[in-house]
Amino acid sequence: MKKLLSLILAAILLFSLSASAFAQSSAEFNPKEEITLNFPSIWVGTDSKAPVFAEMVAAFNEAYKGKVNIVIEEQTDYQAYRDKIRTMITTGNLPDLFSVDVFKLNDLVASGKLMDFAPYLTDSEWAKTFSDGSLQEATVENQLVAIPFESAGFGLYYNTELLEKAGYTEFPKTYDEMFVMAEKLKEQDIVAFPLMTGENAWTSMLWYSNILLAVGGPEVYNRGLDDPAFVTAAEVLKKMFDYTSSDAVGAGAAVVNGHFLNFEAAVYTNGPWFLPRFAKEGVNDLGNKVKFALPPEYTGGMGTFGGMAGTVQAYLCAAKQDNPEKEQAIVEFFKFITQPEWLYKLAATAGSMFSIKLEANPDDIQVKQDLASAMAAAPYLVKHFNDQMPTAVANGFPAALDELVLGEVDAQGFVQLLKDNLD
Amino acid sequence: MTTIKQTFRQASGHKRFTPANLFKWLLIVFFAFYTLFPLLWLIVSSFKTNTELFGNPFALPEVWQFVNYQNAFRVSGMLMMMGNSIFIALSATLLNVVLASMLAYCLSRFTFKGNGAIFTMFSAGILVPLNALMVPYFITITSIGLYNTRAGLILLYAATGIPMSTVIIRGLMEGISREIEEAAYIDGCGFYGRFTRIVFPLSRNGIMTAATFQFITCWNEFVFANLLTSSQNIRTIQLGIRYFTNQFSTDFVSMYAAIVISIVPSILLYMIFQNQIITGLSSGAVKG
Repeated sequence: MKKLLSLILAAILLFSLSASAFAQSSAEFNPKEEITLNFPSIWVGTDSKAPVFAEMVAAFNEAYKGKVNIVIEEQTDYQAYRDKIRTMITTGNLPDLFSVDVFKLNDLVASGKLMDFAPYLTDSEWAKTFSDGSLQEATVENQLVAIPFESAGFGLYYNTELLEKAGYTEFPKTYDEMFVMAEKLKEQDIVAFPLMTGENAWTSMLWYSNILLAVGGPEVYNRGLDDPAFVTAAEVLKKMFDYTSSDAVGAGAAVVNGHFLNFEAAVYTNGPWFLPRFAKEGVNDLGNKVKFALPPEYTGGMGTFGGMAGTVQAYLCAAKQDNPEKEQAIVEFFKFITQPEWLYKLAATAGSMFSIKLEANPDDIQVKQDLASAMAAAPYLVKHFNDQMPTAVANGFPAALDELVLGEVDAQGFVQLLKDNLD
Repeated sequence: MTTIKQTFRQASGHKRFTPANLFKWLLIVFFAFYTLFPLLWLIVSSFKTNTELFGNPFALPEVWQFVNYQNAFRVSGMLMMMGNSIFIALSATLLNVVLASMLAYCLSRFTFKGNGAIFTMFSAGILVPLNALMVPYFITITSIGLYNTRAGLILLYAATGIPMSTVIIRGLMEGISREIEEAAYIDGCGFYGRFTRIVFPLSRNGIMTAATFQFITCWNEFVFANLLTSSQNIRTIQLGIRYFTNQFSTDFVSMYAAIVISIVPSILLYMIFQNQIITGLSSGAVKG
């Protein structure tokens, strides 16, 4: 009871402090006339962040009434959103505000049309709220071209009931042991790993990223695609396809998710945004039967157990402005939506994790708490393969994986196909 | 008695059972099933829960989820988007067939230098993937001030459909007897009169076919509808359908409900104009 009371009091204190900070900030910012900022946003419709995001924008518009008005342009398709932003950048018609996920910040900077946040963040209180290193990741050519917003770690999640059928109560610690377990699951007619080669081969790419780190260590990407770790990791990934579902070749995310949620597959990987869905959409009380596991170690590999793939999942960006007041309005908005009380709400409803430092939330579901602890204790968190590679290589991953799985190329050929995309 | 049976068979069109007859009916049933099954599956799936859909995709829903249809209307504002789609698709189709039939008339009825080159140029337009033209179209539409307007989409759809419509209508216009037009000419009918009173009405089957293709293309178009609009009151139904997908998950059943709603106008249109469409397809408009 005491613990609960202290938590409530802490939350009230936090909220009132930040609310008064906003009231102060809002009172200090007095533009000559109301500034309208257009924000094409994908956090709308049925997106898990949509309800809280709409609340955040409404609260900001209320707090800055007559000063700043955020107008949301609803974008309902992620790929179409990326295409639109790309087209707008190319044609010099950037929207005032937007978010990016898979874009390479270097490519965006080349357009010369992004706002530089460095003057507003360097040595500021706001900068101290971001997790270590996240602002550096958004700095390109000495310009802070984006505000890191959503982050992610990519651990493993396993169905305890299915693993028990194969005689396991804990997840194996090495890849060799994991394959022994996969064999036992196969004997029970259970799919060990739901994998995909369709769309962007997302979950397979995450597996590959973690295997790469286990084989080649955290510096593997710095050594480039010629490093033998890329071939070894491809061999391990190919072996995993011996224990996947029959529809894995060409499968998209919906197929992979469907297998795990429907108790048909034992081990799954994805970002924290997916975790609330175990309970919401899983059958047979899946939410209470899923446990978190760290990616295994590769025997003889350069990785350290506990290290995993992680990334900044979404950056907030803005178009370069001629009007300093408009620039200030953008900063006010981004400061507003990166406040902890909003992020706690977003985390609770969407399962998101953020690049802003937050206290551990005891109300979070267990797997998310375990992931957060694992990320905090991780010897290293390294961006996943798609983030590390040039866009052409990342885009070529699904096709190369198809050929690897279908036996048209071996692991060496797979890496060569990736390299060919660099030409 | 035998005579009565024979008379009944003749009157009702019944034929004696033969292996060829059986094969014919097997083919008909197979293709009917092949064509209709996905549609029926879509409709049934739109009444399931997402868990039922993945658990047993071909079973009937345990409880019919009419709430999926409520979601379709509530979440995405389907009614307004459907209204926009109808207005934009009909306007673009009308503009497209008027322009394409005028072009097809010139290309099919007159011999002049460059006729073949112009036709080849327009035909080549069919082969260009529209997504590759996002940047130039975006620049064009924004620079003429039609970004985020229905007129922008209407103009774009009408223009991009001209190659296909011209090929279809020209094929049919070439088949119209030149003597009819010559008789009209002798009777004093001018260039515009021959087009509007003789060739255009006689080409109606081909025009209906082109209009059908054009309408369906406009109705299903998503990329430019998203690229060239920003406000909800301009947007079309295909954007509404995407409201049920997000980066890592999709509410498939509500999306299916939205898709079922979205295909109703196309089916109604086909039912109304099916005679003209079938005649147009079978009378040479889309034959090679």
